[in-house]
Order: sequence, then C-alpha cells, then structure tokens
Amino acid sequence: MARLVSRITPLLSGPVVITLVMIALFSLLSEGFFSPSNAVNIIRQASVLALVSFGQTFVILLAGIDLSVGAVMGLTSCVTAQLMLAGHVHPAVAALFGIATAAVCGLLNGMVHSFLGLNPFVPTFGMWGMALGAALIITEERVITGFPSSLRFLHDGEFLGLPAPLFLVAAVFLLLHLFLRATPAGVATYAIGGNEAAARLSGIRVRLHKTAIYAFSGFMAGIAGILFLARSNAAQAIDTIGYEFDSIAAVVVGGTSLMGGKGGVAQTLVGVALIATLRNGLNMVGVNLYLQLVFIGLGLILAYVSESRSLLPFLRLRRAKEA
Amino acid sequence: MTLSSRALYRVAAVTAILAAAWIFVPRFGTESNLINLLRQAFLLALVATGVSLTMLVAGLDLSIGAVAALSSCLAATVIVQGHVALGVLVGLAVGALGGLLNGVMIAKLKLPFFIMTFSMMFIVRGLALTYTQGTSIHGFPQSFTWLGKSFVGPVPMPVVLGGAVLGLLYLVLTKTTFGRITYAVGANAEAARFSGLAADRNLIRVYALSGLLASLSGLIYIARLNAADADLGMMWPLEGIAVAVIGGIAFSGGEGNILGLILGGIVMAVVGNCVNLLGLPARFQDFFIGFVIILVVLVDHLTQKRGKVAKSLAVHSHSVAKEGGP
Amino acid sequence: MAEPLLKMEGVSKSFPGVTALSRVDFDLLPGEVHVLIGENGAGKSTLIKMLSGVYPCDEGRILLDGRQVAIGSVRAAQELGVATIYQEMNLIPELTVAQNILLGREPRKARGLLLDAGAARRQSAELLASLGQHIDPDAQVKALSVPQQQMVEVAKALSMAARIVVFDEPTDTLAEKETEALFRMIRLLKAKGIGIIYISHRLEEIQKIGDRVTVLRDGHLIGTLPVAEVRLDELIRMMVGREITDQFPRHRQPRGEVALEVKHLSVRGALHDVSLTVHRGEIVGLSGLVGSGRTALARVLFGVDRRDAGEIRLFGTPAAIDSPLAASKLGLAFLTEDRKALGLFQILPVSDNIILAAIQRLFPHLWIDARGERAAAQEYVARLRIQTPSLSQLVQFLSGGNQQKVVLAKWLATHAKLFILDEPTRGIDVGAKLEIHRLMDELVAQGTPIVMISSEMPEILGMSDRIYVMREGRMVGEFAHHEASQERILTCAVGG
Repeated sequence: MARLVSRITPLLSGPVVITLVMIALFSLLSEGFFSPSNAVNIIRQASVLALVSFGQTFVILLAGIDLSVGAVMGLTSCVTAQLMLAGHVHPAVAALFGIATAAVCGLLNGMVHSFLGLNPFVPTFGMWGMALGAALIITEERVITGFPSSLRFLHDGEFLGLPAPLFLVAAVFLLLHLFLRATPAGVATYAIGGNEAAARLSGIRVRLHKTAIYAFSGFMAGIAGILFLARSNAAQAIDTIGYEFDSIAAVVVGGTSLMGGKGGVAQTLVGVALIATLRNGLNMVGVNLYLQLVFIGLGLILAYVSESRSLLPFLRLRRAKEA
Repeated sequence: MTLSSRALYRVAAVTAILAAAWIFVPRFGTESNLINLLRQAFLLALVATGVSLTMLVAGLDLSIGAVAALSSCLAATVIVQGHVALGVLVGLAVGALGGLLNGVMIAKLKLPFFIMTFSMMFIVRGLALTYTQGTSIHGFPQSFTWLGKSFVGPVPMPVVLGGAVLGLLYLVLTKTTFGRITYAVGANAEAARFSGLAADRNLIRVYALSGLLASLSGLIYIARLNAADADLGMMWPLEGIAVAVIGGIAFSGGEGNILGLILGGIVMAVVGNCVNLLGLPARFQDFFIGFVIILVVLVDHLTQKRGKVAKSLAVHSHSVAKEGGP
Repeated sequence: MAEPLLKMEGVSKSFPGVTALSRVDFDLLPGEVHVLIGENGAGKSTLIKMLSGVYPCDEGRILLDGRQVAIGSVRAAQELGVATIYQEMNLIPELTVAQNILLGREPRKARGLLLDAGAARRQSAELLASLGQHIDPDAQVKALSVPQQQMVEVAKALSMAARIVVFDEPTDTLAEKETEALFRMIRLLKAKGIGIIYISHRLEEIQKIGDRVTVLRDGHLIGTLPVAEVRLDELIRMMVGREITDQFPRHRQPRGEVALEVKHLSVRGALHDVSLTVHRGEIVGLSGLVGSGRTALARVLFGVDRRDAGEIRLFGTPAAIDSPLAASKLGLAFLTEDRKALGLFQILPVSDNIILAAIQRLFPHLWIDARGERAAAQEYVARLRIQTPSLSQLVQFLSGGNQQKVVLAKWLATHAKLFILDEPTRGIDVGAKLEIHRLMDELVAQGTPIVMISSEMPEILGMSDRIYVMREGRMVGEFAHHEASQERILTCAVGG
C-alpha cells in the first residue's frame, strides 16, 4: 500500500489535483456531469485542442513559442476543403496535402528562427498573418461547405463505443510520449531547452533539431485542422483563430515550463483536461457562457502558481552566493 | 532623443511605400482617401501605444483589447445616460486599475508577464461579455461621439487625439525621469536595480499606463462607432504588436521611438487601403501584413544594436538574472 | 621518462591593451597531476582556454603526443581528448545522470531508433564506479550536490575518451570530506594514465595531490618544479615576487571620522562574523582569493543580499539597507565586478548611463531639461576624460577603460558618500588605470572614503591605506599600509 502511495504521489502535480477537485466539485453540483456521455463529450471537445497543444509542447520545451498554429490550422482545413470541393480531390489525398501545407509553414518558422536567429515570436507571428491571409484568399472569405463528408468519421465515428477522436489522440499521445522519453531525439529536445550550449557541445545539431521541431508543430496543427474540419463540417478561415493562445495556455497550465527543458506531452494532456473539464463543467452547472472566460483566466493563474510553487515575492532579497 | 540612422531608414521606407502607392494605386491620392488613411493609421497607432510601452520594458501586455472592451462598456452605460465626463473618467479608471493589477502581479509577485496578461485577457473579456451579455450599448450623445467623428479643419478628430497622445508620450518618454528609467529598465533591468533605481515601481506604472491607454483607445473607438460591444479589440494585442514592431520597438526592450508607431500605423493602414482600392478582397491584407512584419524585423535584426548574441525568448519574467553560476 | 601527453611551447596571447600570456612553456606527462598556480590575472585561465579551444594562440604551438595540433574550437578540443571541468556546470539540470553522461552518444536498441536505457544505466554506473562513485544513474542532476555534479562531469569526460582532464578551481565550493573524495577520484584517473591539469589557489592542496607545480605571474612562466622539492613560502614568493615599480598616485589624508562600521556580519553560506571599519580620508583595500567572500560582503552592504546577523552603521547611525534603492539613498555607491552586465546599459548612450543613477537628484521634478542633461553628462566626461565621439554614443562601443570611467561617472553623479569598488581596474589598459587611480585619490581627498576590492597585488598595496584580508567568508587579517607586503597578504589569504 505504501509503495502504491509513493508511486502515485509524484503524479499528483498541482494541475492534476486541481482537475480532480474540479471533477469532484462539478459532479456534486451538476447531475449530468459525471456520466459516460458527458465524458465522451469532453473528449470530443478537447481532442482538437489536445492535438495542437502537443505540437506546441515541443516548441515550448525548446524555450520557444509558436503563435501561428491557430491560423495554420485554419489554412489546413481551408486547403483541404477547397481541394475536395473545387478540385474534386480524394479526401485522403486532400487531407495529406493540407497537413503538408501546415508542415511547410512550420518549417519556414523553424528556419527563420534557427538559421536567421530571430526571436520565435516574430516569424510565428508573421506566419500567423500570412496563413490567415492565405486561408482567406483560398476561401474568398466564404464558408466552404458541401464537400464530401468522408472525413467526418474522424470526429463523429465510434469504435467499441468510444469516440474516434479518443483513439486518434491516444495514439498520437503514446507515440509522442515514447518519442520524448525513449528516443535520442527526444532527450536532445530536453537538452536543447535545458542548456543549449551544453547540448551543442555534446554534438547535438541544435539548429537542425530546432527547425524540425517547429516543422513538427506545424504538422500537428495540420492534423488538428483536419480534425477540426471533420467536426465542423465547414471551413472558414477565422474559425480556428484563438487556438494559438489556447494551446499555449494548455501547455503552461499542464506544467511545461516556458523556459524550456521541463515538461512534456503528459503534462499537456493534463492541461488540456483541466481546461476542457473547466469549460464543460461550467457549462453543465449553468454558469453563464461569458463568465466561463473569467474562470478560465483565474484557473490559468492558479494552475501556474500551483505548478511553479513560486511565491518568491515574499522573499524580496536573494540569498547571498559565494563571491 | 536623436534620430538614429535606423529611424531614418524607416521614414525613408515608409515614404517610398507611400510614393509607390500614390503612383500605382488608383484613387490613392484623393483627399477623401488620404483622410481615411490618416484616421486609420492614427487609430492603429493609438491602440499600439500601451503595448509598446510594455515592450519597451521587455514585456508585453496581451490584455489591452479586453481591457478596452470592459472599460468602454462600463463607460458606455454611464455615457448613454448623459454623463459624458463621468463616463470617460469611469472608463479610464477601469483601464488604469486593470493595468495596475497586471503591474503589481508582474513586478511584485514575479508572475511572468505572458501568463499574467494572458490570463487577464480571459478574465477581463469574460467580465465584459458577462456584463453586456452580448448586447451592444448605443445611442451616445453628440458631446461624446464628437471625440470620434468630428473634424478639426480637414483633420479627423482621432488623428488629432492620437497625435496629441503620441506627442505627449514622446515627451514623457524622452524628457522625463519616468521615461528615462523606463528605457533603462528595458535595456537592462538588473543594472537598473544595481544602480539604485526603483525598477519595480516603474514596471507597475508602465503596465498601469498600458491599461489606461487601452481604455482611452477604446473610448475613441466607441465614440466613432457610436456603439459599445464587449467584443471590441479582439485583435488588438496582435495588431498593436504589429504596429509596434514595424515602428521599431524591439521585443528585447530599451529600444524604439514612440513616434515610430505613426509609421507602423501608416504602413498597416496603407496595406489595408491599397488592398481595398486595388479591388483585391480584404483577405489579402493579413497576408501582406504578416509578410511585411517578418521583412521589417529581419532588416532590423541585421542592423541590430545588441550585436550577434540574440536575447533569448523573453516570455518569462522581467528579472533575467538567474541564480547560480560562477 | 615517459613521452609527454601535452607540450605547449612558447605560447602567447594578447587582448587589446593587455598581454595575458607571454611565451609560456608547459607540459604534461601521462598519469601526472600538474598543478597550475598564480594570482588572479596571472594567466592560468588563459592558458587553459587555449588548450580547450576557446582562444587561438597568437604565438607558439601545442603538441599532443608529439604531434602539433591546432585547436580551433571547443568541440575540436573534445575530440582531441581534452576535457575541462569548469565551475559553471556544463550539465543539463532536468535530465538524469546517465542522460547527461552519454548525451549525444547514447546506446541504442531497436535498430537505433530507441534509447537503450538499461545499457545507458550500466555504462554510466560503470564509469562512475571506475571513479569510485556510486551515484544513481537515474537521479536528476539538479537534485545532486555540487561535488556530485562534478563527478558526473568527470564521468562524462571519461565517456568521451578524454586523455587530459583540466580542473579549474574544483575545490572552491567543496567541504573537506568532499575534497578528499575528489582527490581519490583523481588518483583513479591517474592510474588510467590520464594527465591532469589542476588549477587551484589552495596551496595546501598542492602537496596532497600534485606531482609537479607550475607558477605563473603576470603572464610569464616563473618556474616548474616537482612538488616534493618545493616549500609553501617559496611558492608564495614565486607568485608575488615582482618588483613593484608602479607608482601609485596617492596623497595620504589624515584619517577622519568613522564612515562605515560593520560588526559581526553573517550571511548563511557566505560570510561569517565579518567586521571592518572605514574612515573618512582612507581607501580600504579588501584582499583575498576568489571565493573569499569579498563580493558577498559588498552585496550585503549595498542591499542586494540580506544579512542574517550583524550590524551596519553608516556615519554613526545604524543603517537598514534592504535594497540597492535604499543603499543609494543612504549615499552608497557600488561599482560591480561585472560592469558590462550589471553596471552599464549597453544599448543606451553615454549621457544616459552617466545620469541614470542620479536622475532623481538631478531632476527632482520629473522634467529633464536638455541643457541641464547635457551639462551634467559633459561635466563628468570632461572631469574623467572619457573618450567618446559624442554624448550620444552608445556605451557598448567604448573601450573597456572608458566604459569603467562611465560607471564611475555614474556614481560620482549621485554624490555618494561612500564608494565600494569591486575590481575597478580589471581588464583595463595602463593609461586608463592610472586615470582611475588618480580619480580615486581625488575622491578620497574630498572626504569620500572608498572600499576597494582588488585581486591585483600592486594595486592593493599601492592604493590602500589599510588592507583587510578575507578567506572563506571570514576576516583573517588587517594590515596598515606600512606593515603590508605581498607575501604577508598572500600568506594570510591562503591560510599559510
């Protein structure tokens, strides 16, 4: 028993505790919350965010940031939709092309950052504008509908009574978790974020690696964009705007550090769960839709503080060092 | 503050853009178009003022749009009842308070500015939406809409107000101790502390000012629109940053002339304007803006003041010095 | 006689205005511990940095195993088998011991796709065991103590097949038991035929671990001797036995009232029961080796760090200095050791840098009038003879000496009543040094006392009226000007 406890305790990070507390609270306050159908709801709602946040996790592990993901998601869904509708391209091919587009956007971000040395804010911010613009151009600012709905199964489908997105997210999660924990490239990612100079000295090809990670973030945004398309069954350029901030929030709230080198997709999963549970729970309890935003903001601050446990303000002066 | 060569390049570049537009874009040079352009440019510059100040101290204020929305909706309720002056005061006060809260949490509690202003964005936007429940408040007395709609001669009021605010900020930043300390904190917060400057106090003031300026911009916008909605300013953080970056304000802090915002505003406005006039659908605008930003920063980077060592991503707190080390 | 692993012949290195090394010869035999000693600025770290690829040599050559090599980069040095263990950690704190040791060279399975954690664990454990260590390979590096982290770095060096390991002041932060553990490990390295270069200022360690010792002074090789044949006082004489021909511009002042009184000051982990007094009219020199606590003392005095015990009195009144802001208000000035990072605003112009610290005094009513600003800055530029094309020149483009003058000007502008200078003339050319010394003398003549932290013996002896010596956070000696000598100070500083 003691061993069980000692193995579970480290898993109970601040955000995990907060999520569990929320689940308990909402279950008490609302009848329908703690039910299988609601759980399925939450999973469906959270899956798009989960996918794009996984990509963002990698970038943040490098002490970077990707502001373009929302727009890139939108670009992917618009490109895919248009290819299917106007180009009569097979849905699978269209989807692949859409994801490839997203990956290219990420690649450009990565190259400008790693090889030209620009602060990642800048290229990803610029890419945000360009991707949004490109999406608007492609769709001529209209909502695209009426394309073949074969992709919808990704969102609406069910296997063994569980929603399809769950499998997608679970599969991606397991792959990425394995990657980060058990491959040399995964360790290299943490190394670069933790101490870039030391990583370079160990022979890691830092610039190449960073570029690849940003390309990967674009790639994940692409996948998320496809799932989003499947969900909404319509493509509109501005629909996905906002995901860049939400994904950053999910990653940070989950416990991955903005300074890099610490965290991972498991933490991000918790962050996504926290945000999704909060949103869903507030809904179920009947809290005003708008008021929910207030709670989310407060929740973010609370989760951050609980994770960093930094109440340094009350120690205004630093300890003396050996001089 | 003397005009550096980089600033001159900027002015030259903007003039070139304007000239090109004049020549190649039909109806660009007409009086009515130029007036529209000017108004749009100054409105954008106004929006960017607050976030630019926070960028000067190597931070960022993502909550400006939300703060503008909340403060202008609250102000609007008072203004529709005829108490214009009181309403304006309420709006400004709310903005300043929001900024103050940001500043205290960031400077005293050492919360990273990204997390704090980002969360504030949610909280304040939520409050604004809750307050209005999605409805809009309209029907302002003329004594208020005057702020947004009137003219001084041929010049639209937003331009006059925007110009005045920018001019005032310029004076404050270049001619007051507060301004000088602001640049110092942005240039090197640790050195500022080691020089006996009240860096924390300065940070709090800067963020409070950012909130105040956001609410001011909000008031001018709603005066112009003659309606207040809780979704005002959704894109302001990003648009503001774009204007600031084009105008020469660096993320790394301590660099940039506030008058550059006028240039940034002009560039943004010109792109939108040309897209319009050329018959291109509005969607091309975002694309070009994104492209321009990257180009501008790239050129800037290659002529950078700080030399080859790029400062690491400043999404965390203002105190860069870390524990440990030699 | 074995073939030397390493031979450095006639190696020289200069920086603008300063000759760091002048035709130094150095060699290392396999399986030996060759200790490198000298004062701060003697050239030890420059020599090491040339070996580890940080600097190229201006003159001379380096031979490894008899073959001449050009060490163009840090990676090149690593590949040639040279590993350097610095005080700054070159590890990644969030990763485990095993991950750090084998970073970039991890054992793999599944056709190279996955990490073989088991093999990594075994290999790291083996490496650590061969050093006599039993650190858990799965422990996170940030959870380890400093000596343990050192061990991990050595293990990492071993894993890269290092044949030369350089230790740069490894025992500074170690307690006695830990030092013993380090020595045991070094002996194990020796047994493997690895050559070790050991830099230290703890002369008592030389006899315990060294085979040969080389003394550098002011960039010159003074001598290389077998440890068995040398005595401590002889070493000290070699380290400081220079003729002090420099003239220092000092006009001795009558000693005035007590300006600063520090009584039994303690800061946990840094200072123990430190007391000193400073009077008007004097320059008090603070001497000691790196890590002795001098800067820690300065930081407490200036409110950067908090004190745990003790009292500070300024001009007779107890002073509560809880922040640099408070310190400045009380009339203190602090020129930090690292002027680039903490003393200057690199991207701001000279005039800003000069007036910022004093800005509230100069312009009490918020408004800065351009003429007043120019005049204030110009006054100091003239007085300190700061060479700059204009007041608006960005400070980062000034030479080191002029930058330091700007920092001095900054504090002079605050009309401070007591100056703490931490290594005021480090890295500055001779001409500027003289000017700064002259300014210090003037300052003191005007009644503003100075506490000067310096590692340059001539400067300490030439400029100070009284000298305090610190060692390991304690005050261990006090000398009046006429009683002091290089040997006496250094002996005090090393605890001989």
